[in-house]
Order: sequence, then C-alpha cells, then structure tokens
Amino acid sequence: MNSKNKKVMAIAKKEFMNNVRNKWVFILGIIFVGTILLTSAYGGMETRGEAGIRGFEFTINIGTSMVLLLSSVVAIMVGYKTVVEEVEDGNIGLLLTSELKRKEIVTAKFIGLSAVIASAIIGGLAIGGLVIGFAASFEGALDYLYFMILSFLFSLVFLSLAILMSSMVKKKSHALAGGIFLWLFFNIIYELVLFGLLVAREGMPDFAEGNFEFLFPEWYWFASLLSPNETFWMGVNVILGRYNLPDILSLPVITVILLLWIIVPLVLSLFIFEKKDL
Amino acid sequence: MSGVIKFRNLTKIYDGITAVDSLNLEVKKGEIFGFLGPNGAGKTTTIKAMMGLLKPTKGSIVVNGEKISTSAGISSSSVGYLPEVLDLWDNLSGEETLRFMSDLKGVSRSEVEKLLHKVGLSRAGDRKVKGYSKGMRQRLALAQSLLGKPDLLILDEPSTGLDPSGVAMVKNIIREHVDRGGTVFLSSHILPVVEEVAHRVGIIVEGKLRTVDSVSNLRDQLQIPTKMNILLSSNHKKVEKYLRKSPMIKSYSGSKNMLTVTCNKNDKKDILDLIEECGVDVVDFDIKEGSLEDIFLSFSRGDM
Ligand SMILES: Nc1ncnc2c1ncn2[C@@H]1O[C@H](COP(=O)(O)OP(=O)(O)OP(=O)(O)O)[C@@H](O)[C@H]1O
Ligand SMILES: [Mg+2]
Repeated sequence: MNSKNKKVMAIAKKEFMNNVRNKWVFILGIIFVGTILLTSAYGGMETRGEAGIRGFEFTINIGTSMVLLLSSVVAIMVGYKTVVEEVEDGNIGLLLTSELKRKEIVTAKFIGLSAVIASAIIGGLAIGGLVIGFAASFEGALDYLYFMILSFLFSLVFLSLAILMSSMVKKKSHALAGGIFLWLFFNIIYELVLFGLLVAREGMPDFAEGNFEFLFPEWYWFASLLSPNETFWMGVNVILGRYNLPDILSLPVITVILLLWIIVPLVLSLFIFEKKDL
Repeated sequence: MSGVIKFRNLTKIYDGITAVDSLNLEVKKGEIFGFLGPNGAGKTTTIKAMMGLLKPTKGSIVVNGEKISTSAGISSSSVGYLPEVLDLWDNLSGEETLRFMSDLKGVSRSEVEKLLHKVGLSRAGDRKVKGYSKGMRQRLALAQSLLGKPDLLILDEPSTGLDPSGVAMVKNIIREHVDRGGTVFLSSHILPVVEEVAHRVGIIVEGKLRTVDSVSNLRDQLQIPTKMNILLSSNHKKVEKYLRKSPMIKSYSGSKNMLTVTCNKNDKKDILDLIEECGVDVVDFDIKEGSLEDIFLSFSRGDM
C-alpha cells in the first residue's frame, strides 16, 4: 500500500471504529435479525395455523420495508456529522496536514462509514438468512443474496446523501435537518407525488379487483428511478418476479441506477467541499 | 535565505467585511515570525488561507514553492499546525490522538511517548480527551503539531489556556524547533514571549499589514521612550523642579522617594547625573526599554 492509501485507510479505520459502536448501528443490526426471525417464525400464523420459520421469499417481503425505513435512517445518523463535525471542531485543519486533499478525506470517510453500514446491514441480514436457511430451506437463497446486495447499495445511497449534506452546510444541526428532509422526501413525499400523478392521469386504481399486476403504467416505473427508495423497491419486485416492470428495468440496470444514486451525491459532495471556506 | 512562505496581495473579504487587505509578506527559512494584531485584525484569516482552509478573494500564497489552494491544501511540505479553535476528538485518548495523527502524517509512532512527555501529559496519555482540562487539550494540540518534526510550524495562539509553565514550554518548543532548522509562523497576544523569541514581527491592523521588522529596529524607528524608576535618598520634590525643566524628560511622576520618568534611550545616564547634581543620591533604579507592547499599542491605536 502506498503512503497515500495508508493515510486514507487511517481515516477510514478511525471512522469505522468510532461508528461501529454507534447505538444506531447496533440497534439496526438487532432489529434486522430480530424482526426477520420473529415475523418469519410467527407472522401469518392465523392463516397458517402453526408457527415455524418460513422461506426467503417471505423474508424478503418483510425485509424490504425494514430496509426502506430503517437502514436509510441509520445511514443518515451515521453520515450526517462526519464532515461538518470536523469543520466545526477545527480538526479538519489537522487532517489537512496529512498531505491528503479534501476530496481524499471525504472519500476516506465514505469508505470507513460504508464498512460500518456493511457490518450492520449485511451482518444483520446474513445472520437472519443463515438461520432461515438452516431452519427452513436454502431454496431462493440466491434471491436473498441479491436482496442483501440491493439493501446494502440502498443504504449507501443514504450514506452518500448524508455526506453530501455534511459537506454542504456549516452546522451539524443543518446537516441533520437536511438528512431528515431527504428521508421524508424519499420515504413519503415522492411516493405520494407519484401516486397523485398516477391517480390524476389514470384515475383511481381499482384495488378491489386485485389486479395489481397491471396497476402501474410504464411512465410510473421510469419516474420511480428518480427516487432511490422506489428504485430499490423495483429491484425487489424484479427479484420476486412481481408486477410487470418494463423489460429494460432488469436487475443489472436497477443495480446500476442504485450505484449512480451513490456516486452522484458523493462526487457532488467532493466538489462542493473542495471549494468551501472552512 | 529563501522565502518559505510568500503572501502576494492576499485579500479576503467575507460578505462585505475585508478581513485581510492586500497582504504582502515573505517569511524566511529558519525564521521565527511573530504575527501580531488586535482582535479581529485578520491573523487567523491569514493563517487559515495559508493552510488552504479559505479561498482568498484575491492574491496568492506560496509555501515551499507550491501554490496553496483549497483543493490541494498545504500538501507540499511537512507542516505542523495548531489552529486557534480546536476541539480534538473526544473519544480518543491523548495517546490515541497522537498515534492517529502519526499515521495520518505518515511518520513513525515512536515519537508519541516523547511528545506526551514534552508537553507534560505523560500521566494523562491514556485518558480520554473528553476528560481533559482546557490547558491539557491545548498541550495535546501542541504535541500533534510537532509530530514528524515538520519544517514549518504554524501556531495560532499557542498559549491559549496554558499556565505559566505551559507558556514557558511553548517558548522552548519554538526555540528548539528553529535550532533544528525549522521555521515558525506564530500568532500570539502574549507579547513578552513574542518579543523574546521572534526574529521579526508583523503587525496587522484591520486587515492591513502596518509594519514588518525586528523588535529592536521598530523600537528605534518609533523612538519609543525608555521608562526609568528611580529610588532617591530623599523626597522627589527636591529634584522635581530641575527635572521638569530639562528637555530630556518626556514625562515625570513621583511619590515620596520614588520617581518615574520617561526619556530617550540615550539620555538615561545624563538624567541620573542631573539628579546627583541637585545633591540627591540615587539609591536604586530600573530601566524599561520600549517594549513590544508599546510598539504594538502605538500601531493598534492607529496613532502612527
Ligand atoms: N467566517 C467568517 N465570516 C465572516 N466574517 C469573518 C469570518 N471569520 C472572520 N471574520 C471577520 O474577519 C475579521 C478578521 O478575523 P480574524 O479571525 O482573522 O481575526 P484575528 O486577528 O485572528 O483576531 P483574534 O486576535 O481575535 O483571534 C474579523 O472582523 C472577523 O469578524
Ligand atoms: Mg485569531
């Protein structure tokens, strides 16, 4: 490893060590394992008439809303302070005596925090997955694996957005406010807007008929790409073979879109932070 | 001697407030440069620009031959920096902080223990910074700036929060650093320390650099009067009339056997003689040459 990479890793490692003990990360891991196992074991008992661990498809179903709501919160909690705190505390001046450039410092933080997210999301889901696999069956394990990858990428989107907030503002509280806004926007507001558009253009969908399969017109799916949450949800739909998404929105394409959702805010934050007065 | 730091027309305007105004300055290798000025004069702004933390509105800064920018930072040289405001990582111990900074600067961790000892934190090294007092934090901050024996040491108010032994320690650290061939850029309000260590001082007032020179040259140039306290064998009233008449005396005050006058540096002996001529013995006296403080005040009052 050359000396520059060693320095980047020193920051990444410190970031990891600081945050891996973060209560949010810990809570997330526990909730993931706990909820997956409990709902898998007891969920829908009325209709099944007995308890018992169920397979991966059911787990992905529950896991999806957990990932959407929780892992985005955790990513924001882990990421919103990371840059602005160093600026507020004056430590950025010390970090810059390392010969690292601002861009490299932010990148180092992203790497360290990604590792934190990975250990919570992948760790939590993997433990849950293994228990299910051994208790029920490993049928559909590949789908579950892909679900884990998408979940990780989706969490990184929010980490990237949180770092963008952290690089833009001058105060921690503003970064948190920005993060909360993004969470609300992508978890609630954008979905409502999309649904509003759907109703306005296509009329109130007839849920009673139960033909969800053909509920959504093509434009709806493409407009969904403008939200990481909807993109992730589409990915899950493709994995589970639900709804009739346009053919172009295959799993690899959706993965690439999620990657763009990670890269664009991150690159933006690098360029914004590079020019800022600290 | 070559210029380690070169400011060319450095100007920084914060929405309407000109913090630094066309600053031109060159700091030489091996020099201790004292950067002085009243509160809000633009010292920290200048230093932050030098560290690549601020984008100059106009002008440029070159450190060790490389132009400073916010994107490249001060990446060219080995630099130790003590910021004016610093809240070190709470959750690390003093020792961990220095180890992390060693890794970051790419220098051996072997100095950590020595430096903790040097700043008087040997026994607190394994305690979390969270529990450090203000002065202890400042000592740790100072220690990190010395890691890797940097060529250039940039200290923004290093004595903040330090006890007298800490202030003496800062003085020693600066001297040792220069003895090793390093350069120091020092901003401080503790003028006696600056006066003692600085080869040259620059005084900045309202963003403008008013003067740059050695303290002794400034003293001569400004003709700052010398102050003499003289203890007489009898009441000062006996000599008052004569002394007040003398053109050598710039100011006069007395009480009982004690008398204080200000005069030109070169007239001291003549004044003592004049007193003896009046038939009064000089029992004791002390002399205060124009201090950096006087120089500083005469610039910062704006009466130059
Ligand atoms: N971020 C900022 N935004 C707006 N104005 C600022 C900012 N930072 C500094 N200033 C202004 O710039 C001027 C110079 O401030 P600076 O901190 O450089 O002074 P200083 O010489 O270091 O003072 P002190 O001795 O108090 O530390 C002041 O008028 C200050 O109010
Ligand atoms: Mg200052």
